Amino acid sequence: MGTDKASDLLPGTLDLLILKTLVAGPQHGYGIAQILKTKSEDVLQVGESSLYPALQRLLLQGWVKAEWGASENNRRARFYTLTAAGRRQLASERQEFDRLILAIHKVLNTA
Amino acid sequence: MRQLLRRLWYAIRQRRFKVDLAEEMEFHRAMTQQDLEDRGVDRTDAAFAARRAFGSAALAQDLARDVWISRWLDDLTRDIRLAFRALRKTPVFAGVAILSLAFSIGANSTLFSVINAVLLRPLPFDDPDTLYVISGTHQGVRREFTSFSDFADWRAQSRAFAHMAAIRREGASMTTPAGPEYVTGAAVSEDFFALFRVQPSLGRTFLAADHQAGHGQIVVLSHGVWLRHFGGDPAVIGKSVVLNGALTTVVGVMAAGFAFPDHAALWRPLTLMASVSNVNRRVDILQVVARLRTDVPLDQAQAEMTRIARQLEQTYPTTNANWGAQLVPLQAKSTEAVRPTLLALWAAVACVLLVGCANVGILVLARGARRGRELAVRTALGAGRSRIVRQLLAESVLIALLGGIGSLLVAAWGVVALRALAPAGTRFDGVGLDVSVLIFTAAVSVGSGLLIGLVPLRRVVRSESQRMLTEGAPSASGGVRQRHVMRVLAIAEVTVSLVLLIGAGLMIRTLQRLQAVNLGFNPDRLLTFYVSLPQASYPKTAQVGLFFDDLLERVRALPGVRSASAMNALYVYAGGRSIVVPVRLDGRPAPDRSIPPDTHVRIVDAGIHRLLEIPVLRGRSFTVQDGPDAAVINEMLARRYFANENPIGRRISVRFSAPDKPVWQEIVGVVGDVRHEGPDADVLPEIHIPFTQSPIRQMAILVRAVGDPAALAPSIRDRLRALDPNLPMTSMQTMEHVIGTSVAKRRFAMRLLTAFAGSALLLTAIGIFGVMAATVSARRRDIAIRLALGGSPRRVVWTVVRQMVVIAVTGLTAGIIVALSATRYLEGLLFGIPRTDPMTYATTAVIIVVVTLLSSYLPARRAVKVDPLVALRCE
Repeated sequence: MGTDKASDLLPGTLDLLILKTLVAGPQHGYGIAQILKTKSEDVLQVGESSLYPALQRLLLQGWVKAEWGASENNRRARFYTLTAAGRRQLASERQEFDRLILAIHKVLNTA
Repeated sequence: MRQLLRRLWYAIRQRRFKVDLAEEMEFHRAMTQQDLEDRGVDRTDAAFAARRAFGSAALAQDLARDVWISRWLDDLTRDIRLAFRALRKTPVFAGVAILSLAFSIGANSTLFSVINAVLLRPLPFDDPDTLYVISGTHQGVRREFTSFSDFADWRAQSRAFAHMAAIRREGASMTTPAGPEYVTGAAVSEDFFALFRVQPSLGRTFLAADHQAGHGQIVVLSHGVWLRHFGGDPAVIGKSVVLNGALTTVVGVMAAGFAFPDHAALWRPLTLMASVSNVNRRVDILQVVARLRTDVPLDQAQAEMTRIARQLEQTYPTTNANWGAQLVPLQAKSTEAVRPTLLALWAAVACVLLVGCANVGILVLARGARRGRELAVRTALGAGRSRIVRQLLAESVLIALLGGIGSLLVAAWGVVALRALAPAGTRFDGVGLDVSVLIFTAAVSVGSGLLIGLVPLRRVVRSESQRMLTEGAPSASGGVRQRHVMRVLAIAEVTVSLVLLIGAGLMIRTLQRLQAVNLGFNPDRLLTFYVSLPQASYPKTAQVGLFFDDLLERVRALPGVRSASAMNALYVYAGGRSIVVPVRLDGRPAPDRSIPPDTHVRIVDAGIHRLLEIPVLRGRSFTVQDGPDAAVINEMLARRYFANENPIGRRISVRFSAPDKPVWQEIVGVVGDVRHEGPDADVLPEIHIPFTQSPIRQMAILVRAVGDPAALAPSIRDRLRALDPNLPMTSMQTMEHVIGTSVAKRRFAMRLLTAFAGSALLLTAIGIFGVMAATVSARRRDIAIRLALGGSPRRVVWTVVRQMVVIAVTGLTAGIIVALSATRYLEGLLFGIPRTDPMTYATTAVIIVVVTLLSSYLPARRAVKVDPLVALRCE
């Protein structure tokens, strides 16, 4: 079963991660999952029942757009690209996230 | 906003999206597999691992989809689709349920639209809450009518009203190309049309001069009459119409929608008689309407009227002692007469709705029982309980919805049918499907849907699914509790049907009684028509007398005529106007003039009593030798004034040649009472005065035919024409026809009530059938076992029939108890029978029993036919 640690995070966090991933350029779903896995050194393993709904959410909000294209080995795959709105969203969500982490930090570190 | 558009886009291209996503996820899986293979894993193992790692594509699809379409919307559409499918699979059930609902809700909507238009809608006038009726009160009791003099004084002395007008309702026999039509209209005073702020659509209303005595006969027509009898001819102004035999000129046509009072067909100018002597002050024949000034509150106006009345009391103590004045809102007054009938009818229709809903409840239960298995499987597969509940509810709501749509059709048709079947002259202004009716229908549909939906839910809520899956056939037809509920519903249906039947039965008996009332004269083969001699051609009373004598002689000479006579006004529905006067008896003190008089004067030809076959109880009728001062009184008058004495020879006066000089008539006979006001109205005291004493210009001619009275009409017309070719053609009616129309409205109400009772009965029959069928179905196993063990078929059938007996007996008992108290509301409409009339109750009980027997017949037969082997083996 596709258990994933990412489901422990808020859904918003997954969205944030995906958006960040797409800054580097268009990517298909499998690619996104691999990048997350690699970059987080195998901590974050996103299953498809989280990934694809998340991607749909991003599509709904208009933060990404999707197009069919050819993958590395010439297979047909759907590539997701960050939109301008998506970039803005990424910046603001990042800020939010940082604030949140800082706040949690403070709470944990004061007696 | 953009999100909404995207969602819409998704909803439209759903399938495409789904395919895309599937392909995408397949790619993902393929890549994973590739990856594994690259690492050296075996192909089949890699494939297997990849698929396992990927997980449930279906779940992913679902979750992805959830992002786009909110869960509840998705579920709702699915529920509706499934509900449709489920209903299509059982078309009989669906059909009966939807039709039951459609009919019962539709009937309610139809009646509601009538009630809405008649009772609830505010009067179609400007500022209707400033309109009031001013009634005189005698010793505190509100009287219907006021006199000319009182009205004139009220008007002159009051300041609180912007307008005050007097109305005298009249009935007239209008000659139309299609035949005579009895129409109701009014003679109205000057301010009338201004008071209601209405303008004519053609021509004009009345000028001040029109209200002077002796002015030409003119009329303003209502819109409806103009359409019906003049075909909407725009050049109608100046044309004539024949009313009560008199030629009347049309001077105006009112706009559509104005028909005051009481769906008036036409209006004539009221000639206010100059009240010289206050003898006339108690001739109460007018109704007074007034419009309150906007800056005057009601209690101030009422106080003013009371003050004026009191002043009149002091100024004219003989006639106005104990007389007051009271303001009543017009809205309330105008619906008085029709309210009890309408409400009774609506109660009946509501009962039909209850039965309809109960029926659908029974059907749903019976059906739900058969679906126990299906629901059990669903639960086992993981359907949440709420999902199942929602689905069942969806089915019920769908039935209710379809029933609701059907009911709109029924309601629309119902209004049309009502219009067609109602007695001629019933007005349906403004009755139709409008917004409030639609809202009403929608509310009732949804309400019934929820009510019905709740019925089968209880079984789902309690988890019987386990049992249903493992056990076999018996549960396939439902648990005991469900059948119990079905029985209760059936009993309720029987109760309601019985109450309705009793109501209808009482109305039928009422009508029978009404028609059985002896009107006091013989209406068989009687032809009647009015002759009205215009003042211009017959200025002298002698001429009038001569004319009628001549006419009667000629008519009597016609073949086929047994006898002919004349009277100023006969049976109220035949048209004509009667004269009401106070009565003075010689040797007795003058009557208290303040008490409103109620003695009717009839100007008659000498042979009238013989013609009408009115029995002479004392003395004799008129003879040719009698002088003009002879008079005949009726029994009612005799009872009132001559209780223990012999009235023959006594002197009586109803006229005054001068304020203190009564003109005496000598009573020569007492005749039987005639119910001129209709079979259920009171008998009025009457005095008959020979025509020779005071000939009047408008008389009703009565002809008793040997054969068919209608056949005489042409030859009579010929005679009339021969006497005076310029006399307008008058309409002739047979008395039977007139009497028939007089009960028409009540008969219509009775027919409606009977129709409702009948439909309730039909629905009940269906319901009982459903219950019995379900019972037999449920107990097939039991029956089979018993039969197999050697039980007698008769005993087996008895266990089934016993159910039916329980339903019938309980329903009957409950029904009778309810009817005994519910018929209280019918009391105003009944006549001649008590509301506990045993024959009605007995007959209706028998009907219920028979219907119950019939509807149980088939299921009972099925019970007998159960083949033990077959039943035990399969479900």
